[in-house]
Amino acid sequence: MVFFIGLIIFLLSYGSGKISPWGPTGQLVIDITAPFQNLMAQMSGAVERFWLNYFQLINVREENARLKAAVDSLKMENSRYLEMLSGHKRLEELLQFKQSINESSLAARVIGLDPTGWFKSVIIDKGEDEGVRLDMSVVNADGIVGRVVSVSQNYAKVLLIIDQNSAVDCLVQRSRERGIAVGLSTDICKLNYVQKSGAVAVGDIIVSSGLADIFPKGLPVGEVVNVKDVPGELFKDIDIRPTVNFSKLEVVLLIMKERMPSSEQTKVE
Amino acid sequence: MVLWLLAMAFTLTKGGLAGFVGSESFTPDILTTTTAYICLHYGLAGSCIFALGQGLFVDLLSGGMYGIFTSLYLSVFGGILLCSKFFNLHSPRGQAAIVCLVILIKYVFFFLILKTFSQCAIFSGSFLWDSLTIVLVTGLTTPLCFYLFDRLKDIKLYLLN
Repeated sequence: MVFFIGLIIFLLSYGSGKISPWGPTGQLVIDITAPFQNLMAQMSGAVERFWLNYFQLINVREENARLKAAVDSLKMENSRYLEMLSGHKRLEELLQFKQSINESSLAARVIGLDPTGWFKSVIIDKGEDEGVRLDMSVVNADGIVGRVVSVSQNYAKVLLIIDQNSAVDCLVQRSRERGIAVGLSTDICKLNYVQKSGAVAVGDIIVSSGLADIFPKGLPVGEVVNVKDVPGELFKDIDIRPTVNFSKLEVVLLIMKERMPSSEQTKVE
Repeated sequence: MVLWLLAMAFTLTKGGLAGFVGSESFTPDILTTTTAYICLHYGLAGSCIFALGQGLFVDLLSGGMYGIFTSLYLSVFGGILLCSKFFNLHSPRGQAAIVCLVILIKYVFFFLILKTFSQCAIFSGSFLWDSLTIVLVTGLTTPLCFYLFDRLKDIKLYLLN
C-alpha cells in the first residue's frame, strides 16, 4: 500500500517535467531537520577524521619503529667501524713498535684478567704451541707490560709489572741512575734502591736496563711522579706511573727470546 | 654441576666485570655465597669439595702464590661450619650474617697468610674499606642469591621431569 502511494507520487511529479522548489512546509521541515543533518555530518566527519588519523597513527608508529630500528642498526654499524678503527690504530702502533725492536715477537690478545683483584695478572691467548716460554717478556707500544709466569699449550699467564711480586731492573733515562721498579698492585709503582746522590726528578722517564735477561734494554717502564728524600733512609723514595695503561690492555707483544737457564749462562760466561 | 659451572664462569669473568663496574669492591663474593648454599642443600662433603675445587681454579688464574686461594676457600668452608653453629643458615638473616662473618674471616686469613709468607706484601689504606664494602655487598646479596639458586634448582627439576 505504502509502496503504491509512493509510486503514484513519483509518477505525478515525474510527469510534471520540472523540479519543483520547496514549498512552505518543505522549507519548515528542512529548517528543522537541517541542523541535525549538519550535526550528523560534523559528527561523521569527526569520526572519519579520527578513524583516518588512528590508522595514520598506526602507520606513524610503525614508521617510527622502523626508523628507530634503522637508527639502532646504523649506530651499531658505526660503533663497529669505530671499534675497527681503534683496533686498526692499536695494531698499527703495535706493528710500528714491533719493527722498532730487534727481537722477534708474537702478538697475543688478552682474554682474561686476574679474578682476585689482589694480584695483577692477565691471561693471553698464546701458549707453548706458538713458542711461548716461561719468563718471556711481554710489552706493548707504550712499554713493558710484564712477564710470562705460567704457560699451557694454548694460553699463558702474564704477571704485570704493577703486581707486588714483580720487580724490573731499570735506569733513569736522563741520568742513567739505576733502580728496581716494584709493583704495589695499584696504578703507581716504586723505584727502589736509587741512591740519595742520584739525579732523579719528576717527569724523568724510567726504562728497562736489560739486566736479568728478561726485558730488552731501553723499553719504557714509567714516568717519575714523585721524588722524596726521607731523612734516615739510604735511598730515595720514588713513585713512578707506568707508561702502560693496564686498565685498557687488549693486545700485547711477546718478545720471543728464551731466557737461558742460569747454569748455561754461567757456562757461557 | 650447574652451580659449579656458574661459579667457574663467574671466576672467569670477574676480572673483566670488576673493570667494567669500576671497582673490585662492588663485585660480590659469589663463591663464598655458593659455598654456603651448597653446604645448606648438598651437605658438608659437597661444600668442602666445591671450596677446594674453586680455590684451585682461582689459584690457576690468579697471579698470586699457588695454594693461597685454595687455603682461603677452605677457610671459607671452615668459617661456614663455625658460623652456622651460631646463626641459622635456613633464614635469610642468618645467611647474610654467616656470609658476612665468613668473608671477614677470609680477609683476616688472607692478611695473615700474606704477612707471614710474602715479604713484599703491601696493603694499601683502601684494603680495609674495600674489604668492608665487599663484606657488606656480598652479605646483602646473599639472600637474593639463595633465592635465585633455589629457582634454578626448581627449573632443573622441572626440565628433568
